[in-house]
Amino acid sequence: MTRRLAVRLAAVAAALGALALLPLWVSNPYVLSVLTLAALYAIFASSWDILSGYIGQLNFGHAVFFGVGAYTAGFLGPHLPPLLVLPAGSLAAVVFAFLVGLPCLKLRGPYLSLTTLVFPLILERLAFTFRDVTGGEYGLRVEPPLSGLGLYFAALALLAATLAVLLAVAESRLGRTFRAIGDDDLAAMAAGINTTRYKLGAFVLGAALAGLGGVLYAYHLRHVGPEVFGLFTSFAIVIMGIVGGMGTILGPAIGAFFLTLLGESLREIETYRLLVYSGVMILCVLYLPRGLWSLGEALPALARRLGRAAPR
Amino acid sequence: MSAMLAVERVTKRFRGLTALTDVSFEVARGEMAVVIGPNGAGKTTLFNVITGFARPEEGRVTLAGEPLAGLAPHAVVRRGLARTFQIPRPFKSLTVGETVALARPSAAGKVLGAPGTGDAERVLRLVQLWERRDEPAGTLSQGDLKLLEVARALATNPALLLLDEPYAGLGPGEMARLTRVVMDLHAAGLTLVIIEHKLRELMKLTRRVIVLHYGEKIADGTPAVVAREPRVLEAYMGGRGGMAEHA
Amino acid sequence: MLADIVIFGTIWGAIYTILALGFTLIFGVARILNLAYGAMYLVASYLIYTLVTRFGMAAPVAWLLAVAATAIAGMLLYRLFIFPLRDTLGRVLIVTAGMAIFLQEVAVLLYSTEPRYVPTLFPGSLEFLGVRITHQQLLTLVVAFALVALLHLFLERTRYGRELRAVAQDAEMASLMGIPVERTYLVAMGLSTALAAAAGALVAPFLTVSPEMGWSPLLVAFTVVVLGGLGSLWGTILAAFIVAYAEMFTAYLISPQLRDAATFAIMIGTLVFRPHGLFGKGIVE
Repeated sequence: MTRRLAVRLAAVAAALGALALLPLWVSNPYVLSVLTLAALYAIFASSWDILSGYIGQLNFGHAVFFGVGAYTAGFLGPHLPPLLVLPAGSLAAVVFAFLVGLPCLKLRGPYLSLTTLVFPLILERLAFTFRDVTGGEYGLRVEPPLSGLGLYFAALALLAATLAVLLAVAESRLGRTFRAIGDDDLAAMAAGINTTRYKLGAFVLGAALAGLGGVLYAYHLRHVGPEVFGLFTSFAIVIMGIVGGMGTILGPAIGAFFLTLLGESLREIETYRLLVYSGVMILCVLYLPRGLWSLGEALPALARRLGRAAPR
Repeated sequence: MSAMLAVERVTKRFRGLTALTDVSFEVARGEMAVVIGPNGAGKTTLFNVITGFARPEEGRVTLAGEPLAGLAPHAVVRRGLARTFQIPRPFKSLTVGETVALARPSAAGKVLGAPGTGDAERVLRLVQLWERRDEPAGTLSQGDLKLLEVARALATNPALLLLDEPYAGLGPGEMARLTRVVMDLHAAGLTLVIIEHKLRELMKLTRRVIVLHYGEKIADGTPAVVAREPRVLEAYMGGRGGMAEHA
Repeated sequence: MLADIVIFGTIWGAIYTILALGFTLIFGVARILNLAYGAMYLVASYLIYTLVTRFGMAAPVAWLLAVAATAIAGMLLYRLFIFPLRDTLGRVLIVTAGMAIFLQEVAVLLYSTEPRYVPTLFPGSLEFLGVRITHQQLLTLVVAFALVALLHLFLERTRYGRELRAVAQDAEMASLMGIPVERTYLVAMGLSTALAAAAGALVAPFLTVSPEMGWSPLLVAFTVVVLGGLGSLWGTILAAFIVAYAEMFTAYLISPQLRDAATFAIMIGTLVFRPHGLFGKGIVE
C-alpha cells in the first residue's frame, strides 16, 4: 500500500464517516434523500472514470450499466431475497459490459464516443417497445427492502467500497497499465500489453460497480423506467466526471456531489438543471480543463505561495 | 532456420497507394542491419507490417521460422520482437521507472537467445536513465525520450529489436550515448534492424545495408556495395548527403 | 404499405442526404466531430416555428432567415468554443456535447417540453399510389435535391469550394499553397450548419418540434457518413437512402418505436464489421 493510496483512503473514510454521522444532527428526510442520490451518482461517476479517465475512452453510455442494474432490481426484486438482487444487478451489468465493450474495442476517439452514446438509446427504445416485460414508458414499481436512513447508509457503504476498490486499482500496476493505454494505446501495444483485454476489463470493472449502484438507485426512486437509459442520465454522469476531474476517481465523485447539491439547491427550476450542468461543464472545459480536482491540487501550492508572501 | 527475421515478398497497399512492393530480405541472428531510403520510401510501413501494426496484402513475415501472420502487435512483442517509434510515444501519466516496469517481458525472447534485458533496472542503467526513474516521462528532453523508447522496448526482453530513426532530433552527446547503447546490444548478441537517415554514425558500424525506394528494395549488401549500386545513386542524387562519402 | 415505405423512404432519403453532407463538410474538412450538429437542426426548427407562429412571417422568408441565422450562430459557436480547443479533440468532443445539451435545455426553457407544430408552407396533399403525401413533403423532396445540386456546384465551381476540397484532402499542403485554412474551417462550419438548419426547417412542418429532436439527426448523419464514406457524393446519397429505407422498413413492418434502432444497428454494425464503409473510403483509419 503506497502512502498516496493510504492518504486517499483515509480521506474517503473521513468524508464518508462524517456523512454517516450526519443523521445525528440532521433528521430532515429530504436532505438525506438528496445525499443518497448524490452518493449514488458518485458511484456512477467514479466507475465511469476508470473507463473514460484512465483508459481514455470517453464513454457516453455509462447509463447502460446502472440502468441494467436498476431494471434487474425491478425484475428480480419480487423473486429474489434482497441480498441476491445486488450481485444479480452487477452480473447483468457485466453481461452488458461485454455486449457494449466488444463492438467498441476496435473503435477509438469520437467513433467510440458516439457508439457508446447509442447503446443506452437502443435500450431505451427496447424498454418502450417490450412493454409487457418492462412496463413500457411507465416502467416498473420497485419495492425497496431498504429506504430512508437504511438506504442512506447502504449508499454510503457502497460508495466507500467502490472508491476503495477503484483507488486500489488506480494505484496498482493494473491502474498504471490503464493509464498507459489511455496515454498512448499504440505504445502500450508495443510494450507487449494486450490493450483489448484491458479495455474490456475496464468496461467490466466499471459496469460491475455501476450495476450495484443501479440496484440501489431503483430502490431510491422506488421505480425504474426507460428514462434511466435516457440522454439526461448519460450526460449527467459525463458532466459530473468532467467537472470533477477525469482520471482521478475522487474528482468525479466530488463532481457528483457538487452538481447534485447544486441541482437540488436550484430546485425551483428543476427542469433547468441540465442547463446549469451543461453551462458549468462548458465553462470547465474552457477554463478549468482538469476539473475541480485540479483546484484541490493547486491549493497546497497556492498556500505555500501565500505563506511566503505574508509579512513576518 | 538460421534467419532471425525473414520478410518474404511483402506488399502493402493503402487505399490506392502501394506503400511496399514485393520486399524480401533476411536478417541473421545477431546481425545489425540498417534500412535506408528517402522519405516516403516505406521504411516505417515496413516496420509496421513486421510488428503487426499493419497487415500486408501479400507476403509474410517470419520470426525464427515462425510466421507472424495476423498476430496483434502485443502478441508479436510476446514472441520476442520489439520496436521503437520514430516520434517517441511516452506514457505521460507515468514516471520513467513505471514506464519500463510496465513493459511485458516475452518468454520467447529467452528461448531465442535474447540478452536478457527484461530487467527494468538493468535496462535503465544501460540507457543512463536510472537516476531519473522517478521523474514523469513527460518532462524528459527529446533525446532522453528516445532513449526511454529504447529502454521500454528492451524491457520486453526481445530477441530482435527494430529501431525507427533513433538518431533523429538528437544532439551530438545524445547520439554518442545512443551509439554506445546500440553497440553494447549488438555485442550482447541482440539482432537489430535500424531505420536511419543519419548515416554517418551507423555506416561505420554496420556491415549490412538495405535500401528502399518508393516501396521497393533496390539494394541489399555491405555499405560499399550498396554505395556503388546505380539505382541507389540515382535515388539519392540531389537528395540528402551522397552515399559515396560513406563507401 | 410497400408504397408508403418506398415513398416516405425517398423523402427521408433526401433529407438524410442533406444532413450527411452537412456533417461531411465539417468532419471531412476540419476533422471535427461536432456533437452540436443536431442542435443546429434543432435551433433552426425552433426559429422557423417562432418566426412563423409568433411573428406571422411568411414561410419561405422565415425559412431563409432561419437558415441564415443558424449558420451565423454555428460560425460563432465554432469561433468561441471550438477554435480555442482545437488541439485537443477530446475536449472539442466534450464542449460540443455540452453545447448540444445546453441548446436543448434553452429550448426547454423558452418553449417547454411540449411539442410544437409549425404550419405548413403549402397546405394540401395529393395521392400517389394510394399514399397520401402532403405538399410540404413534396416540397421537401424538391428543395433537398436542389440543395444537393447547389452544394455540388459550389464545391466544384467556386473558389471557396475548391479551397474546401483542398483543405479536406491535406490541410498542411493547402496552407503551404497559401489557402487560408482557418477561414476555410469557418466557411465549412457555416455551410455545415446551414445544411443542418435547412433540413431542420424543412422537416419542422411535418414533424413536431421538440427539444429532444436534435439527437436523431446527428446520429443519422454520422451513420450515413460511416456507411457511405467521406468525399463521395454518390456514396453519401446511396448510404442516406439505405438508412432511410431501413428505417421505413423497421417502422412499418416491426414497430415505429424501433425506427431509430435500425439506424443505430447500422451504425454499430458498420463500425464493427466494415469500418471503412461500403466503398472502402470510410472515415476510420
